[in-house]
Amino acid sequence: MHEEMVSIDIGSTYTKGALFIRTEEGLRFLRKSITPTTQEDLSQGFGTVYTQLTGLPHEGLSARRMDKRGTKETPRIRFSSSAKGGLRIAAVGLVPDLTLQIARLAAWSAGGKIVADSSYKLRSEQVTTILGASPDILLFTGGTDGGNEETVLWNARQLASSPFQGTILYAGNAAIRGEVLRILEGKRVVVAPNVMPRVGEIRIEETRQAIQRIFLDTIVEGKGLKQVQEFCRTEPVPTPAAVFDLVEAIGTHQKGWDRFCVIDLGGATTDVYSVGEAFWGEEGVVLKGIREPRVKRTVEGDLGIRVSAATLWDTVRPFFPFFIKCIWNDAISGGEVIQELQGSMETKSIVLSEAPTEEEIHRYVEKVTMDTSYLPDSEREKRIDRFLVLSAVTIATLRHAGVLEETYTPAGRIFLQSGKDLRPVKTIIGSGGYLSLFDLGEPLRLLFRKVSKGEHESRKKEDDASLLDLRCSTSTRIPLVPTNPVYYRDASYMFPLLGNYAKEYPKEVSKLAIEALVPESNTVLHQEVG
Amino acid sequence: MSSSGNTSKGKIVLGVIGYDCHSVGNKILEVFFNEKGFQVINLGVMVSQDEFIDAAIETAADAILVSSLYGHGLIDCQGFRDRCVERGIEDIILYVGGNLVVGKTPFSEVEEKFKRMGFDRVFPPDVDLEEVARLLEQDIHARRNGKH
Ligand code: B12
Repeated sequence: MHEEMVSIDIGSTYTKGALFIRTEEGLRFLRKSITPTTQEDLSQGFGTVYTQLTGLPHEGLSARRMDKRGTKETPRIRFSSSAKGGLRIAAVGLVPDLTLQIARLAAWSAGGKIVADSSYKLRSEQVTTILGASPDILLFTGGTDGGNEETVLWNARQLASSPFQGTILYAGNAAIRGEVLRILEGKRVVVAPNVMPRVGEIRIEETRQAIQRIFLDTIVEGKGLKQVQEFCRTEPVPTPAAVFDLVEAIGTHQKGWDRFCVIDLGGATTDVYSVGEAFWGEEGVVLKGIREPRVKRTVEGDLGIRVSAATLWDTVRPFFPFFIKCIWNDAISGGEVIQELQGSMETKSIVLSEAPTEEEIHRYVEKVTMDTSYLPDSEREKRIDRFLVLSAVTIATLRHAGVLEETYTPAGRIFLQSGKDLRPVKTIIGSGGYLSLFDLGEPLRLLFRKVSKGEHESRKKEDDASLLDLRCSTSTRIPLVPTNPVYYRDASYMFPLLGNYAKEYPKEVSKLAIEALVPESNTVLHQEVG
Repeated sequence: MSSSGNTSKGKIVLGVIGYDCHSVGNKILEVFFNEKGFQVINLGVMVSQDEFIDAAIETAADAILVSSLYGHGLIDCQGFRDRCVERGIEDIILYVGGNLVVGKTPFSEVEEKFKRMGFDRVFPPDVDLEEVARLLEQDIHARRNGKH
């Protein structure tokens, strides 16, 4: 057996591809290729990459492929696309901590981005907000099977009379599915089993599949994707969903990889994936709310270092003294933060005098927001980028992770856990443009250690809102971030490319994925971006 | 399709409130009411008011049966009905039972206090469960016919 396999990812900026070969021994990487994405006709960039990988011509994509059929074997192709910057989803649920939260988890796991959400009864203001966010899909949940009807039917009627044009995916109370469908007649409606058939029971796999189905039907139209699809004789997967599949495959098939995170940070969003049990049943810890899934993805649409730099900076700013103290010095000296914090006053003041002021960072943020393809052109700007990267990763991890709350009961002290416990996470893998460049192990361990001790208080009392945003309002609330993770980089950004084959060859691709990781080193690399 | 509320005698949410971890009685109640033909959503021990209410909303339950064994029931149940009202299930049937207070307060006084807080029925630990099932069926029937 000797099979060549092509994998191509059509990203918003670059179209990347890799050629693999599969033999009895497993999967091997042969070569890769990258070209700017051709926004007007995606099939052009795709064709360029295809030719570079295979040596086969690409003019007239589909025709060429047809000729080859039957005469010469063409390699198998799989491809992913992050078209339109990801799938925009509005989540509608009943109780915020139950069906709405599960709807969010389902949307994220399918590679979507939550652009609006609503719980309980939909009122006209909520409908307006949802319409304003222009979602592609409205994920409509609520009620257990045989449970709440009143609110769910009410919401169906609100949606029916709204001008919403996208697809409504109904994954609520299955007992009234027929009635909901009748009410929504005339709208584009797809159904899936209830995301919460019984209280606390999560069932999101079918909803995830349905979302991906809709993704295909809506994004494949136009911009040349149709041609690519015909040429490949296969359908695209949303890029984050490909990564999700790979993450799941690693967690299932690779020994020692039962608790890890993958973080993918880009200009616009920060994605966090985690594998591991959400709750460990520790003595003295009680789980509140739903038990989150073993494989979880969240996406933060306001945390990125270009398009979303301004919203990232809004969140970071109240914590500026904390972050600058932890991060800046590290950016200069390559992981000597701890020495600095324990060092004499003298060294401290020397080092900190080099740190940027808030205004300097603010100006940089304005600059990169104006020019989102901006690359840092000095050591100092690279460090500011790194500062933004590390703070975005910290905040995104805090939002992904759950929290422990200390409580006293007649039987003594206990902890209430909500959300997912990432403390036992052994490894963090950095993927995506920026994280695959930097060696972030040392500063992340320091940040997580300090954050889990509640040391990231904000400067002013008025900043309470952003404190809550970081999910840690007092020292008795312990964020469940990884306590001592090792850092690896997906240095050649292979995850989406391997992810495209994760459903077919989970063992092989997950093996190759972890073999290709670059471990931490003691020296800090400052490579060029791009 | 799952059995909907109408085929059973009613849907009840069950749990032990507050930081109370006495789990034995809770299991007995679950088995008992199931056998009696009720659809039981058992939340187990250490259940907060909001968790009871969340579950009741999603399942459209007819009644919430609160247990308290460890002596802090009065504090834990404070404002329960008000919270139901706030969250839109003002007409749900509320029962409470167990060792509701510390010490030797006469049961009638205990009952009085919980009823003032909005509980429909209050039960001592040695209550006859058959009797409870009968009352519950009756109350659910009345509620469904709008007479609650
Ligand atoms: C076993 C036990 C424990 C075990 C529990 C183990 C477990 N996983 O369940 C342990 C050792 C952990 C424990 C701890 C404590 N316990 Co204890 N415990 C008991 C004990 C001996 C038996 C409880 C039991 O299982 N009974 C059997 C079941 C079947 O009965 P039940 O729980 O009463 O439930 C029935 C009825 O009450 C009724 N019912 C209950 N709820 C409802 C609701 C409705 C709507 C209805 C209709 C009926 C109903 O139906 C149930 C089924 O028949 C009782 C004493 C006793 N004999 O009751 C003390 C007792 C309940 N405990 C008590 C105390 C004080 C405590 C502690 C505070 C002690 C401490 N300082 O550590 C802690 C509290 C821990 C906590 N956070 O909850 C006191 C409570 C005092 C009070 N209320 O006035 C009791 C009564 C002992 C006493 N006489 O002092 N306890």
